[in-house]
Amino acid sequence: MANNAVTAKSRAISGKLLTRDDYTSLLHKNSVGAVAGALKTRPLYAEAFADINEAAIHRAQAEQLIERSVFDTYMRVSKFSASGKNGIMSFYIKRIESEQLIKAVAAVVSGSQESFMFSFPEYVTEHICFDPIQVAGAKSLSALADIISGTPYRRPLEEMLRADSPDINRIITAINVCYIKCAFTRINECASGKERQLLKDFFLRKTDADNLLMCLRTVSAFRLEPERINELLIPYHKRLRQRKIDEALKLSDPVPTLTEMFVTERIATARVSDIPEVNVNASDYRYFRHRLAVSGSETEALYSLMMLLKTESTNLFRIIEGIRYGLPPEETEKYIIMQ
Amino acid sequence: MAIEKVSLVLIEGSLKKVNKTLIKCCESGYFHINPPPDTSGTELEAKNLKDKGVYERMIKRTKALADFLGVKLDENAAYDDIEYNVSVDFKKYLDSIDNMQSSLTEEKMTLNDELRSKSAIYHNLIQFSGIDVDLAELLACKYIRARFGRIPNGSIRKLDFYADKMFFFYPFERKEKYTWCLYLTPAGDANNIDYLFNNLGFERTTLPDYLKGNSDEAADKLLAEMDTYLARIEAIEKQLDEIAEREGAKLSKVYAKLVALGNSYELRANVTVFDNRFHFTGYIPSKETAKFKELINSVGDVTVTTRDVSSDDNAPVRLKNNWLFRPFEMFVKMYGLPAANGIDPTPLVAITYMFLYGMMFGDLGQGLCIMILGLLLTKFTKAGLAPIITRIGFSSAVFGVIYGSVFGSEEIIKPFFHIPQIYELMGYKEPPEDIFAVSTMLLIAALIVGIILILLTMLVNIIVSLKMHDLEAGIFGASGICGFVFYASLVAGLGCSFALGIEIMSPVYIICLVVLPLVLIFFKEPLLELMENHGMKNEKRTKNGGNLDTGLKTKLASMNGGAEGGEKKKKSVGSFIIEGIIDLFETCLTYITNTMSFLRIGGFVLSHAGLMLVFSIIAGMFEGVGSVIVLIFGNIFVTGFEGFIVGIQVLRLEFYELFSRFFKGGGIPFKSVSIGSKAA
Repeated sequence: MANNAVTAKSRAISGKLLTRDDYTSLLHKNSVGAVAGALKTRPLYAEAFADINEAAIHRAQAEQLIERSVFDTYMRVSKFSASGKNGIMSFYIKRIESEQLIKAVAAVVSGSQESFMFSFPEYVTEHICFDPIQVAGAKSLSALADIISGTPYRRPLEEMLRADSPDINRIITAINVCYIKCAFTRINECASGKERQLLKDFFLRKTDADNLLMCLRTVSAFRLEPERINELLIPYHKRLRQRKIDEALKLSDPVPTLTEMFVTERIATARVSDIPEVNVNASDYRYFRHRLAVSGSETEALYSLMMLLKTESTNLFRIIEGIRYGLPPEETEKYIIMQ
Repeated sequence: MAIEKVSLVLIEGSLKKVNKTLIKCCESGYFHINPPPDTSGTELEAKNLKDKGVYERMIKRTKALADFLGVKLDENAAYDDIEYNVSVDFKKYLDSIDNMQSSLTEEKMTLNDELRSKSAIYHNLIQFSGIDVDLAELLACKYIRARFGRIPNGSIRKLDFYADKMFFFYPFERKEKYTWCLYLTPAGDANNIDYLFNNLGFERTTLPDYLKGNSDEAADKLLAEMDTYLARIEAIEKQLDEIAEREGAKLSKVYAKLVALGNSYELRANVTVFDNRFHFTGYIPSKETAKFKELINSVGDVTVTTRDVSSDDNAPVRLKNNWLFRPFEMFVKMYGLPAANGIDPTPLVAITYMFLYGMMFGDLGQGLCIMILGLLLTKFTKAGLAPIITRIGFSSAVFGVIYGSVFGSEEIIKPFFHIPQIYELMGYKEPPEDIFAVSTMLLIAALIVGIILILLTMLVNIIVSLKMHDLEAGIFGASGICGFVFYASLVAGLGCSFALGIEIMSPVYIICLVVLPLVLIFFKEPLLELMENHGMKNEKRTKNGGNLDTGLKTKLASMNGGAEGGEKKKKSVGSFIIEGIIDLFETCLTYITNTMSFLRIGGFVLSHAGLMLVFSIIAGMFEGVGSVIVLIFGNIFVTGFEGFIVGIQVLRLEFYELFSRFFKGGGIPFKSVSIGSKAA
């Protein structure tokens, strides 16, 4: 029953995702307040945006409310899970936790702890294993190591955080590995047989996508050496094997080969974009829509929904950003992933 | 079977009087206006009146004034005592009302704006209840900046992180998502702290600098000010009420007159003007002629001429029936309005509908329930079906007494087939046990009823067709004289042979009364032509009467290249014979199917008894209250379900088996003009 409940609710909620018409309308809004006003009328965002003052709302506030809506949706659906909120479903909280820790590390390194605090989603405080105020108060990475000493992150991160010249990229990779390991541990505990393998494949596919995006960014924006790029990748693969990546990175223009590896014909996006990153994300979006429609696993269904919602929130952030910087709607639309 | 006699009315008069005349026509309640004649292509220099609504602006202005004064306008108010007739008079009156109320209304609007503004400030201020400092002094501080507003609840905990920053945070009331708060910061740090709070989602509320005293005192002062405004608004409203009381009734009358004048402009499209005099025509019931003339003559400088038009095809039709039959006009109108020179079949429909319904659904108890329902619907709704329900309920009750059925029980009243004379007449030696025992007789009776009704409608058709000079339908049609003789003779012959054992169908009988009518029907076309050549008038063949069928045939003929006026294309002998045989076969088949169709009367009598028997058996399976509940449910179900179906079936018999034999439709409905009527 419960299994069906999460799957059914996830599918029902996916029907409330923004449509092409909604995006077209949002792209043509001329202020953040107008976007917020429009989101007030959409079922997934109505509650979070209910009391806002459209005239006074600013970009960061709107983005936080969108993230809050996504989180509330997760909380609403996950409580129907048979394994309870601390079971396999907690992967999503773990993901937020690891993302926030990565942001905290970056904030400490760049000295922008205040910005970290501004954007920190305070509603997750009670669900994560570290105190955000203490983390944001860390003046150095070794101080951060002290603060997280009582958490599962101590063992994999301590040495790197206390190093004389810490490598930020390796720390971020280690945090991501922590997340994947945690997810796999939960999968091993809660699922068995075919479902266990299916869920692992599902997470690995997402790792493939993250690795690919990392490759695309580092190759085109930072022109890093293949060895350096490899250090930034999460050492978990499904289709995107290390050997294939190595071969691709040796090419003069590895982007098409890398994209092809991931964007298979079966899940090829209907919209072909000139931007490789958009192609990967669009492919991801279609994959998760497909999985949500056919999956019999509640974890897979909810995870797919959360990924779709994440894509939607990224779209909204881009729209708000476009409005904030006065970009023409057509320009912003190039980055929007939609059905 | 009455169609009310109408008279054609020609009204002409001075152009100045056109509005007043039209209003009088509307007031009469029985004037049907005709569209204007088409004068194009003639030498007459006529024009149609269709001015733009000059009163529209004044109607809007009157409505606006009534809104300001709170006067409820009634467009049906009697306005006889309003002497204004031209727009200037109305304008002067409306100006005078405007002068009285405009300054007061403007002041009221200003005060309302002020009140709204103060109310918004008050609602913000009460969120900060408990500030024990003079707000004016706080807001005027030179070195300290005070910021009032609200912050998301989630951001309050984050403030701990900024504990080293230069600000003091005072939370007030905590709501579901936000906390109302105040923070103070040195003027020099204000920009940084404002940035910080802005990033934490703080929404600032600006309080005006005229607020004096602490927050509670300032709120009290605001309340007192709002009370003053309210008192002044109340005084203004009182003054406006006085004006409304003084002028309200007159304003409403003026409005009613303006609406009437405005609406009468719509009717002006039907008016033709020659030589500065207006002309229009219409119809009135003949009996109202004297009264109508008197009404229109009261306008002055207007002449009314009337003419009897009882044989005019184009005259509008107004049905006239007594209280018993009138509700059944609805069924007739559903089928189509009878032609002006035809007959009104409402009484026939009313009698046969009640009779057939009662026969098919005869139950005293259920019939009385239906009758009560009809009475209640008539009293509390305007449903056209309600009086019909009352009447058929009564008929059902009467037949219930005959059948001896009360809520399905046949033990309370003695049924007709238990009367010795009747069951002996039906050939039984002992009274039959129940209605199912006389089912064969019942079905035969249903057929007899059907035959009688078919013959009756054939007679009606013969009368109507001959009255309308439609020889084809009246003499040679399936429901004409030939059809009547054929059907009646065949039924009488077969009836006597099978039922009474009297053999009357001799060869002479068959040739003269059965074969000859069929031959005449077969040769109707050449015979009609022959009769026309001998000077007999056949309206249907020379003119497109009201009959839709004829119209269609003529259209088809003209499409096939036939001449206008119904002139027929010559047929080949082969085609004539084949068409004739098919027509004849169809006619004979129709007689059989139409007669058999009436078997449903008997069928429904039996189905009613059967359904009630089922429920009484089910009720017998229970004891006490259960049995009563089943019987009540059964009666409700049968009354609702079967009562409804029988209603539809009877209507079907009326429309398909009876109406199709005699009804000549195509009548134009008589529509009395009223204020607001559109052009004809």
